[in-house]
Amino acid sequence: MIRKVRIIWQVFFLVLFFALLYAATQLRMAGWPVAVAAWVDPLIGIVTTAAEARLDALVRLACVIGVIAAGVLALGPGKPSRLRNRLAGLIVLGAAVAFLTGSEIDFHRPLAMGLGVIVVTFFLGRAFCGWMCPFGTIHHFVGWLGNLRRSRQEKLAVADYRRFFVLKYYVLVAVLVAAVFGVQQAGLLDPIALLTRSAGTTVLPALDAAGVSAGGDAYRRWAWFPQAHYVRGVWLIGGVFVALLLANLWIPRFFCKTLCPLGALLGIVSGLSPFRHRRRAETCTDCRLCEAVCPSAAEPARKLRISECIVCFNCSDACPRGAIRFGPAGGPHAHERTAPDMSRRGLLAAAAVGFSAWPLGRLIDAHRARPDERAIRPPGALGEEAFLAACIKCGLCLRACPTGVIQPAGDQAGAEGLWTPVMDYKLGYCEYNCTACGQACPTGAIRELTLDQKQGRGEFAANGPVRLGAAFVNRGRCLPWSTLTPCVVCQEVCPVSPKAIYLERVQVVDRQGQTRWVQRPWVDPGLCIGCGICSHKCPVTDSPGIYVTAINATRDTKQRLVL
Amino acid sequence: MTEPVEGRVATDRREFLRRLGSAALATGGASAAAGYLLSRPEPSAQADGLPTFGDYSSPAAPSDAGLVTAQMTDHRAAVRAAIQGLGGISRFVGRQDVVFIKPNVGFDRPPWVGATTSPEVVAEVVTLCRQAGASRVLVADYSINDPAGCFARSGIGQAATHAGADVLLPREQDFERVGIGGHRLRTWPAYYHPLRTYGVTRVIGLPTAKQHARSVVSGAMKNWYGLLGGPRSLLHQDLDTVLVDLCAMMKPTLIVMDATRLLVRNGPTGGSRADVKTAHRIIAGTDQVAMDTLTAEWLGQDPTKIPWLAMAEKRGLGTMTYTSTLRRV
Repeated sequence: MIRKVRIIWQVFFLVLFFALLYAATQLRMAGWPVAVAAWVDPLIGIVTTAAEARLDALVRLACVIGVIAAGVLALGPGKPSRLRNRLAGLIVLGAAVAFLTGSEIDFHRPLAMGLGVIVVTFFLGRAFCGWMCPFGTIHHFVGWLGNLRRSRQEKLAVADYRRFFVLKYYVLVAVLVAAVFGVQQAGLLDPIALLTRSAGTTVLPALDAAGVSAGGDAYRRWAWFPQAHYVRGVWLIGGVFVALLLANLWIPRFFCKTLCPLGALLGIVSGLSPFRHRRRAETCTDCRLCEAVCPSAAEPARKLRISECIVCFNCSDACPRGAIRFGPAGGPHAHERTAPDMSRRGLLAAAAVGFSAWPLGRLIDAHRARPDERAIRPPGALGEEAFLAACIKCGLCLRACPTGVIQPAGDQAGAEGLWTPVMDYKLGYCEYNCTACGQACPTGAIRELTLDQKQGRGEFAANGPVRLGAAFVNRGRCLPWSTLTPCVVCQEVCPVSPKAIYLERVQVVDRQGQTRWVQRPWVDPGLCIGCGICSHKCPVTDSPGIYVTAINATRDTKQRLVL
Repeated sequence: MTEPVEGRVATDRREFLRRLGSAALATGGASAAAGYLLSRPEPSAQADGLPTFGDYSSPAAPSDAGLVTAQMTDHRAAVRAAIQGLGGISRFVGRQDVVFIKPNVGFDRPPWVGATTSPEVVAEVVTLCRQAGASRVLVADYSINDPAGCFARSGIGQAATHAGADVLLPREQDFERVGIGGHRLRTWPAYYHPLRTYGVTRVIGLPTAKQHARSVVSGAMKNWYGLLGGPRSLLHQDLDTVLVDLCAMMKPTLIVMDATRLLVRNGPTGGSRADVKTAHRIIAGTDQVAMDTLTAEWLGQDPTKIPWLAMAEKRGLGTMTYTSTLRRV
């Protein structure tokens, strides 16, 4: 019964997630809270806040060492004791207080919604995973499909807890430690960021392509996507997504059990919950019907693993004798395990991996000293360092963009910046009268701008416009410069007034000896905002006669060009 | 034969082949389905079989009406007056006509910039067509900026829909190669699809008066550029000939020039109030050469220095000496 209620909830939240993602693809979203799924995700909130915080490297180090010491204390050696757990808790609390008071934090307020999920988890366990998470719901469904052909014995075999499921806790530790050192990598495996990115770049475009082919005019009238769909590197994003879906055929909810750092975070929190599933050994006949239907390897017929349980009510619904019930915990219980079975060694290794992202992610790239010319960010993006700390690579900006200019970065922004948004003027351009990306961004990596702010009008006149970069004429490829052919397309489409591209009318002699007039484009870098429409519309389409690089972007002082 | 391992299904050769076969079928099927979804039927390539824009002029239209201009601060009234001066809308649009209206919605700009046709001019023409009994009125333009944004910000989308028209937002797949038969534009991918599928019988151009660095003036002829798809930015290499080809491409029913605002510099995009001159004027007529000549003068340009006007006149598409037939209302 309650299982059916859960399924209705899951479907509801899945539909809501896709509805909001679709809303993000509609131009000028008119205030729809399209990023709400990311806001309620506490992992995104914690990692973004920690990574964005500005504080002394020594304080960071002290915090991390303190937390690791606490972990080691809690995990052994020897038998865990209440005293040691309390001591560990105190150290973690102290580190958090030191971190919060010692740093300057620019907290993005909507992310506070993640606290709600933490509170729910504290009381009810990982209900978010079982009832709300849209990615979890998809995995749940595919896993259920995979189980249809299995006998009960086979179901029991794939439902078993496996030792490598502990990996997700190590992923979480690595992500958190990296965040404390200012490296934001939550978005790689966080379920909301991963699903938003995958659905936005692969699922919705594929559905749209099918709709256009099959649905024709009727489809176009009601449901079409105004954006271009081409996404660079979609094979990798889509490949990861499809591989994770297929993994459910091997082990149901494979991603949730093995990789999900959000599930791990909620798993740790759920160990404290006062309400949980309880098996009454005296009525249980050890038939293991409950374990065959458990999607999270919580082993309800044995020692229930609280940190794995997603409170889906499959077990209690399946039990013919009512031996499993959800209710008040009433103190520690012999029939359950509250803590994830991390080892000290694993914990230290995971922390080391997270820590190494700090020097390694940055040593490899020279981006911080001399920004990559292709690392052109959407309008409203923070300075590169702050941007990388805040961006969760969810690709919501990419979906919101009406022209398709925003693309997931490959190597343009360094190892750290994989899949962060960069502008690709071959595929689109920044629309002058548009601020959709900033409205969509869940973490404020792209600040929401008003049109006045973006264009440097009204009260923002003194600041000038937001510049993404600067255009340069490639005289070796520009038609009037290199072939004496008339053109002016770049000047025609330049959206600023007065135009940043101006024309010099020159008399030239062609190879027949005829005198002709051509208008040659010049760029005024003081007026150019780097929107790239000149480059996008240039008739020399493969390597345009006018191109934009990141220099002169207003978001970063390192990119200053004009005196 | 190996002994089956406990808990595993032994795979023999037959089973292996069966699985291999179903895997191959599944991959092949998925690839075929993907290929089908991604490919669109290519339009047939035979040159003489290409569709062409035709003669959309109304048989009831006055043959020697020339141009009619109106100047009023109520722009909708100015549109009505100018068309009335040509004998009224009923001489151009009749019962059961399907009207295709082509305003200039090239850019994602608010109306005050003057880069796009005023929404009230579009609304008035749509309303008049509806009053004349048109069974359907379509409004479309293949914008330079993102079409959805252009139609929203210019106010044309809402104004046209409100007045009873269907707004079409072209996508790349809506374009097909048409025969144009011009000196430069022989064939080109154009937005012809709705004219065929909706059975369009009348075409009305609603250009707006703008300065342009290459063609000097963007007016009635340049407005048809918005029906072209493909690599149209190449056309600037010989824009003069292309504009005349566009003028000869079809016989439109009627042209209503929106000169309520004149974009006198930084055209065709504008962006500053200083670029716009308020004129409160409308021109109605069918002679695009005459209309663009007059528009050029209003924009402060010398029509005799605009090569494509003379070229169009020479091809017999209209007259640059419009003054004898010009009427002001």
